[in-house]
Amino acid sequence: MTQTLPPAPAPPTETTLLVEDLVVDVLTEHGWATVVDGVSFRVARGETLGIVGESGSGKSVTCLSIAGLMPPRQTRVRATTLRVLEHDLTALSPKQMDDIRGPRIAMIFQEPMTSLNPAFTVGDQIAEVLRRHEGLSRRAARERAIALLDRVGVPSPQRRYRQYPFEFSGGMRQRVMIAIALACRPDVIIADEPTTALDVTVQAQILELLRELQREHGMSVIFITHDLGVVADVCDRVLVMYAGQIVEGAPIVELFEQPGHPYMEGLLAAMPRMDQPAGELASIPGHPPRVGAMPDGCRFHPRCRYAEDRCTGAGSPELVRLGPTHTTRCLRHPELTLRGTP
Amino acid sequence: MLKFFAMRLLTTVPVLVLVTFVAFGLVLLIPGDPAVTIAGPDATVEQVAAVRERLGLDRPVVVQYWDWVTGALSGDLGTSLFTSRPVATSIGDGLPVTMALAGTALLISLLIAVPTAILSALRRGTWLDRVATVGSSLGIALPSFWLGLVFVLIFSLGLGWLPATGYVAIEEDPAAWLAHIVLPALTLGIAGAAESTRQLRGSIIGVLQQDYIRTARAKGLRARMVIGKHVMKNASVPLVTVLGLQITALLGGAVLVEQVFGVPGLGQVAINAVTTRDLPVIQGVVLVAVLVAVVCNLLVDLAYGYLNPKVRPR
Ligand SMILES: Nc1ncnc2c1ncn2[C@@H]1O[C@H](COP(=O)(O)OP(=O)(O)OP(=O)(O)O)[C@@H](O)[C@H]1O
Ligand SMILES: [Mg+2]
Repeated sequence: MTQTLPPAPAPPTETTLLVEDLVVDVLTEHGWATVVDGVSFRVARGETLGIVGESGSGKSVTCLSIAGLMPPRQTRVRATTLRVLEHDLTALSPKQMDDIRGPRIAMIFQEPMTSLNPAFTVGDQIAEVLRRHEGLSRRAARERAIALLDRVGVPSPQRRYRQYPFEFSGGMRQRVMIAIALACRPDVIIADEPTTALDVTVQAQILELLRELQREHGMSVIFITHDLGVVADVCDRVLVMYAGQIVEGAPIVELFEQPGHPYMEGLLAAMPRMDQPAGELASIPGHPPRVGAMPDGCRFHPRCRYAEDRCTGAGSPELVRLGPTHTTRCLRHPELTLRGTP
Repeated sequence: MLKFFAMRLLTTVPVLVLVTFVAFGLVLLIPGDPAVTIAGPDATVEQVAAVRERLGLDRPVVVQYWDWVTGALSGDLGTSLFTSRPVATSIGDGLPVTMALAGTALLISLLIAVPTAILSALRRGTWLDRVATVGSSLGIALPSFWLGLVFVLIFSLGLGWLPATGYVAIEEDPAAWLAHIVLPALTLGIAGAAESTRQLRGSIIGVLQQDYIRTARAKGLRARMVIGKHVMKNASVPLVTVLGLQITALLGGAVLVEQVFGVPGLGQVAINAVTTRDLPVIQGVVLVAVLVAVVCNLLVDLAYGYLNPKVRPR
């Protein structure tokens, strides 16, 4: 066996991120409570995976846990598998995780106004990533940072490099955040509601920029949002989260045309129409369960118009397949015909 | 930044003028005939006349002020009534000693406060944090002269590690200087250390919860960088405010500590001058002390400008 084999051709859909059975507990006043419960998914190279769900459903916690960014002493993160390319994240020390964040996983957050450090220039905050991970000199990092600012559409990047965050508008700051995330050409970018805080026109520009960059670099993107309109716009596939669990997963067209879970049907029904101003989804009657007080059976049953006796008992239902790429966590799915949007 | 510096420097000019009024005005505050008061209760008529003559108290106040200010500008603060030494010489002897003492005290207090505050903020709620919190409450509550005496008892009389009193100039023998200055500086700095620890711990805890710290960690920066760069630059802003207040307190405290440890600083000069009613020396000491405070506050403002880009003019 001394012969060297030619490198195996990459499979057509290389998995960049694989998550299996992620469970996250957080410390609350009443003790430990599970806020993410058995989340599993994979993301392929070049794919955009959307995660939707009401506030508090565990979208951010899922992503922060994958990136190792939950506060260690108030959280417990467990998973059967957490894998980015060949890196097994469950086996890495905090220091080794520092090497993953940046070049492998990068993040963009919701709050562009507070996510940049007010005490340092914008340029410094981009350049320091390059210096940290690619060992660039001050000068080389500066040049790359200016090129990045230019790429993400910040005008006169030479001058802007030396300015502070307070001299930038919200949209421009979010472009800077994107430049930071993009700096080391990560395999996976997690964007946690990157446009929620921006007004509609700026939002459209930022989405377009993200789409372009993804095409250019072939990154995987996880896109968290409240806004189903945005999901339809940018995502290939979507996970629907409710009360810490994935309740449905499907390719975008299938999900919108034939939702497999009553919760998703409710979200679609609550979606603002073309002729109405965009808003947040809120009009499913009732409230999601509080952390640490999950209902028995299906967690959605107290709000579900199709709920029956069997939905209320003995453990939450399993996630089952509706088709090759479509899953749902509903006991009644074979008998229900749920309404989507054309 | 340069423009900021120049602007700030300009605004100190009126303050300086005011300072000269205050220092000089001391003579006007003396009730009755200043010459009689200064010469003392047992003075003869000739002695009182001599004092009046020496101080020029018989001339109009404006002329006296002008003479004093122009003299001060050229480094002449008059001569002591008691020792006949030039006031500038006495101050020149005492000031460097007091500055060294206050500077070392500040350094020691920061060397204690910064690591303690960082550890205690990062390990919030652990025994280490509790020890630091109790320690800083004690440090603030205990009077410094008492601490000084305790230190002397332990480190000089008990263990014999350090001299109890006296002072050696740094240019004479650096090792001996250090040995002599450690206890007084520690005594002087401990209250400030405690206060800075408490302030800094609180602001670090606040900054750690900011979104931009999460961003810094999301970039994969090492913990050392996240804390040392991103946390500390923001958390230092309130610390600088506290330090600005402490510097003035430090100068006042130095008077006391110099007495306890027999350090020949400006405090000693001041106390001698007050007990002997040596007016020119008192005026000189007040002028210099206020000048030092003004310069320190200028430095504090510059530190603000560095730490917080928003306050810089553009
Ligand atoms: N550090 C933490 N300590 C305690 N509880 C937390 C912590 N972080 C999140 N939680 C709780 O975990 C639950 C899930 O929160 P998460 O932020 O993931 O929701 P989300 O789906 O991102 O909501 P949103 O749409 O509002 O961003 C919430 O109930 C939240 O209160
Ligand atoms: Mg969130």
